[in-house]
Amino acid sequence: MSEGSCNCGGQIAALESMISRLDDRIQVIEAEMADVAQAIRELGGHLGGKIDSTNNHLKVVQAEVVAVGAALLAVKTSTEDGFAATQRLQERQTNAMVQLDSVKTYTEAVALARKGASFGKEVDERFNKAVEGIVLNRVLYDKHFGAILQEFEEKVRAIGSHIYSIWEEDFSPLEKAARVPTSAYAEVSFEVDLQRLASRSAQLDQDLEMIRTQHLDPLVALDGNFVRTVRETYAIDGAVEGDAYFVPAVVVLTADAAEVTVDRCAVAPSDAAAGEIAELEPMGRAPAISAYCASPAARERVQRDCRTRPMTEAEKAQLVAAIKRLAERGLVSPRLVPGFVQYVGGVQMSMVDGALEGRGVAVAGDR
Amino acid sequence: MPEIVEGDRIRVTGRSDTCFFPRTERETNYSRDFDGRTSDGPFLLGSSVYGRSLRFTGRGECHGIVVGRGDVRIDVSMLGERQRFRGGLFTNGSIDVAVPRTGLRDSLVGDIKNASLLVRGDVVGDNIHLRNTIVVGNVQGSNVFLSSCVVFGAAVASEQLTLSASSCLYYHSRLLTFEGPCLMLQAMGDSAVRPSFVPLEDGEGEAWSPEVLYYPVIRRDEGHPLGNRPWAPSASARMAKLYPAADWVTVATETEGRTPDAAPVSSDRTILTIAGRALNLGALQIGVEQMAALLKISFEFDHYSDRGRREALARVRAVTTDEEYWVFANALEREALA
Repeated sequence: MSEGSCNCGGQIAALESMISRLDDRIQVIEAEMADVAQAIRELGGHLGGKIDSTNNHLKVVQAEVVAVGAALLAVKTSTEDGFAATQRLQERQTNAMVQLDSVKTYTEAVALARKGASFGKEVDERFNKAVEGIVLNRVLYDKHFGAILQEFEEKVRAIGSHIYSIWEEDFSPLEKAARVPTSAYAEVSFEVDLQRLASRSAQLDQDLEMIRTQHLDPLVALDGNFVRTVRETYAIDGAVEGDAYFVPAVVVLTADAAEVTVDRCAVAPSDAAAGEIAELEPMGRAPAISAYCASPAARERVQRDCRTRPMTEAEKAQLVAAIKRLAERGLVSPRLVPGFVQYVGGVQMSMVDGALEGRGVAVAGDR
Repeated sequence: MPEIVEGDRIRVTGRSDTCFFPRTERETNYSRDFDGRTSDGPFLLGSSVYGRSLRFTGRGECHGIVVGRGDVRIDVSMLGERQRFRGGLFTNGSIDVAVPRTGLRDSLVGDIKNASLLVRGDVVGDNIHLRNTIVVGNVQGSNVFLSSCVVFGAAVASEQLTLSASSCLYYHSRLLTFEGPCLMLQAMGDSAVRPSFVPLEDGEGEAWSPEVLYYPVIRRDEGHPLGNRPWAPSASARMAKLYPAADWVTVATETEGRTPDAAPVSSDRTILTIAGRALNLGALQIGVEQMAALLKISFEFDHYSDRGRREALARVRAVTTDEEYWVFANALEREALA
């Protein structure tokens, strides 16, 4: 390759020198041509007729010179082409050498890498084989040991198979049944009871509220109305201290007047002024009829003179008529009249006589 | 304690404190008879019993648990005989009790001391037929028939439960029948369908109308019977009566599925409840609390010391009626009382 390079270099140098000589020669020829042309022109000037032939001769010479020049240019071109080809050839050769060197180096490197990889692979394979061997040994160990243990258990079970069968077939189901807490069976009953009680409690609250608003409150209002009405109706006019008076009341006497039950009575204070409304107060059992008298004087008189006697039928009829008149006047609720009538007709009623002139206290009627 | 092998049966008489368990496989095929009608007197078993096809005959006691494989038969069919089991009866077969054929008046309904069998603990089996029996525990099986019985616990049947002149604390079954005069110690119970009420003809041919009373109401009366005695009704019997139309209500229930992922199961159940009718529950509270205290003491009794047991019995005596005390004293104590 070096010789080729030297040869190419020599050839190139020779060609260059040849080209330079040709260039010089061309320049010389051009200079001579210029001299010839000048001479010709001078001759032309001197020679008249020979100018055309001389011109023709010059033209021919000129054409020849041009041809020579073209030939020289062709040579130059071919020389340049050869040079370029040689240069390319040189470059190609240089590249090939470099490539060969690099390929060689690459190949060596690849070979080294492959060698390393194969070594690593071999190490992995040997390691995996070692691990497989360990696993296989472990599996074998487990298998053998399991077989030993199973055989032991089977022998034990064979000895006490009747015990195992009793445990599995008889005791286990009973134990399973006994584990269910019996309280679980009662949960439904508890829940139903609680729900029913809750709903009943709510319903009871609702009913009590309804009773209060629809019955109790009106009764309380009626009672208040009654008290107010009686006060207004039975206001004391011209009361004088010591006067005894009687007001409508329900009085229940025992046979010997030992006990008196009075629903309501009016008691005027001893210093009641004229027009002062008597205070109404409920009285329970009193030891004697005289206890409800308005003043001590009246009380004494009642105690001295009062006697009880059975009420006659006429008096009962009169009492019933008086109750009905009170109902017509709105002083007694008409709804209570049948009850009063029934009560009067059904119980043993007595009259208290002797305390004052006129009727006794057992009559509810006009004052 | 002689143990005699007769064919495929082992007959045991007299007294023994050992447990009866087959020690060889051959023994598992033998049946066992515990005979209290021999010259050795009543059988007295101090420990537990396991065997195939057990039979207990005559008078005797067993202080341990009885576990049977197959049927358990208790024969106290002669007058005056009584057996007592202080550990419960368990079997995968049937349990049958044979008693003298008497009328209702001569059974424990007429007098609690006429009981033929006393069991402290649960009675668990498949088909259970108890007669003239007191159980301080639960009775559980597929088909349960209680005739002249008192159960201080639950009567649980997966199929049919029949209470024939019997008393129980509460019940749980699919089908339920009340025969004759019955008593509910608590007004609790549920069944899949409404219970049936049918008359009862006792052993002497006397017929009794179906009637169910609520015990805490009549408990306050003199006599305090643990059974419903139509021939001598309590003063509060009318108030204690349970009415099918008012006291058994059908409700829709929802129970959890058999597995955690299963959907809830909806079904209609007929529930016994007095919450819709009883007004003065405070009056019943005392009786209920006393019975609860009684049951609590009975469950804890074995864990008491000797002194604790005497005190417990004294507490029981203070809160119980005569018949209740007789039942629990006999169930708890090792020595039978009169």
